[in-house]
Amino acid sequence: MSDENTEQVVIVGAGPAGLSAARLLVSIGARVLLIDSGERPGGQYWRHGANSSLPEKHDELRIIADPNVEYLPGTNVWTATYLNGISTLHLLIDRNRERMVKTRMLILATGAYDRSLPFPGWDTPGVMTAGGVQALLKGQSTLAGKEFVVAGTGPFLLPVAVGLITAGAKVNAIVEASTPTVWLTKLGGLTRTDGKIGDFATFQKIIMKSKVKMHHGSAVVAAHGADSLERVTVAKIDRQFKIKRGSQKQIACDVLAVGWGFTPDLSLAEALGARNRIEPRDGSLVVDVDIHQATSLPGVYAAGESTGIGGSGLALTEGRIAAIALARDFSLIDSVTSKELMVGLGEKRRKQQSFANALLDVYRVSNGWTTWLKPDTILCRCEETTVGDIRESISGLAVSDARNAKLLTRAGMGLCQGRVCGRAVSELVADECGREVSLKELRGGAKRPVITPIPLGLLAEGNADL
Amino acid sequence: MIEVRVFLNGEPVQAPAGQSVGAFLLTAGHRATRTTRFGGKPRGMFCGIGICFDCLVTIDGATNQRACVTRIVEGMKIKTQDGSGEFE
Repeated sequence: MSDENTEQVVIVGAGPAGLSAARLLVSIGARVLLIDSGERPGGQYWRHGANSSLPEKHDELRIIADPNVEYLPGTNVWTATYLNGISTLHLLIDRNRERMVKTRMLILATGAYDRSLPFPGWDTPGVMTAGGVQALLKGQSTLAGKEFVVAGTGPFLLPVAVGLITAGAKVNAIVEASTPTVWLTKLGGLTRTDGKIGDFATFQKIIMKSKVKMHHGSAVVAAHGADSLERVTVAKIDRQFKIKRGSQKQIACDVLAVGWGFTPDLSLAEALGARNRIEPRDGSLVVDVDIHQATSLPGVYAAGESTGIGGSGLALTEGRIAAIALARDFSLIDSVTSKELMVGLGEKRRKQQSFANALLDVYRVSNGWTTWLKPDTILCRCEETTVGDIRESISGLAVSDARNAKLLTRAGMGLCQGRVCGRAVSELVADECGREVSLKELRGGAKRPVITPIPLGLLAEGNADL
Repeated sequence: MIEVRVFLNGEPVQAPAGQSVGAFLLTAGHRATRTTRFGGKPRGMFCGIGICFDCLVTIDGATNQRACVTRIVEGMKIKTQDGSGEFE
């Protein structure tokens, strides 16, 4: 099935940024096609189960029912192209139907997923991303196990731990790489933004009351268990993330929820050819946008985590700005209306951005994590490439960049297409070669001509426009 | 939730319709959903949101399906996988 109506606005992603853009566009009378890979709207921030009361709290979540919104849940953009101002998106709906959509007006709100750092034993069943444990709990009302350790870095660890505690799980430890000293120096000057500090205090209070032990300046540096997770090694780490000698101890658990911040999802932006850049604060690859959230491709806008990790409040503001800019650029509204709608939004975004930036500084991941690795540590989970394989390719085969490491060791070539290990491989290779990671290497790891697997049979019977 | 009958490794069992296969397998005690292709090591759910392709299972004869993003429906045949599994 193909859809040649290039005059409808297409939004990819139904998290806070995409929903907020949809809401604004509907309010000015535009028609919106809203595409989302999830079963329910909300993305990672507002993930909820079938019986949740969350939609009552956020007007944005109810926009999917508006007659001017065509909402496609359970839908992946499996590949996309951009030519002469027109974006062509190939959709895979419920993994069994194909549909093609063309549009002149596109908003990317593809969000982010957990950033993972490889460490010995991270491939043991029971080691999960913090987001994965949270998704099971919020989306499926399922506890991933009985005894948890929550680890990594970032403000997201607290709500994950609190969710588990509230659901009655035993949390044996929270292990946070950052330290209160860092918070005080970097967050001290910040004012309250959107009640975020208030949330933080509430989480802290629940954790204190639960008597869960909080380990600061520490990390889980190894996971152990034959067939599934039995315990983890926790160690004190310095600012460079190197293990402090003699500080290691073991903590029992059957689930480790570990997250090192987030990786913006750039698959679609890369497929279209939008310009991207390295965000210096956390070193991640982000979509490059101007003050109107416009990408380098005319008619394509981006909002939310794909333009830099900043939280749901910032995503909401960016979604609105992107929608207003698009509406103005395509004359859906006049310039007077667009100015009125924009009032205060730029300033709000600036404040939210500076708060987000301060958090990225506090919860910085230093590259000393590579010292936790052993030669037999799996680096690429899909292709089972080890750290030793990568090091050998550098010392024995004169590999000097991530691309050649990938070609010779298959790291990043598996089914996930480098989503999990891409950045880690780039960092390890750069580290071994004594240099910084390059934009080219990160881009190479994010380029995926086929974004999500599609059954060959569907392609064979599908439309001839491909 | 409405319970439906599915087949887990050939055995008929009750499972909540609409739940993810990944959540169902965890509850049913399968921490690992497959073994790896080369090392034969057990693997289970990791990212939980369809990114990592670790929680692979065979669904109705199709190999390498992500358990975390596949919903339970009546009569579904779910199989844990050895390596790449066997296409049926």
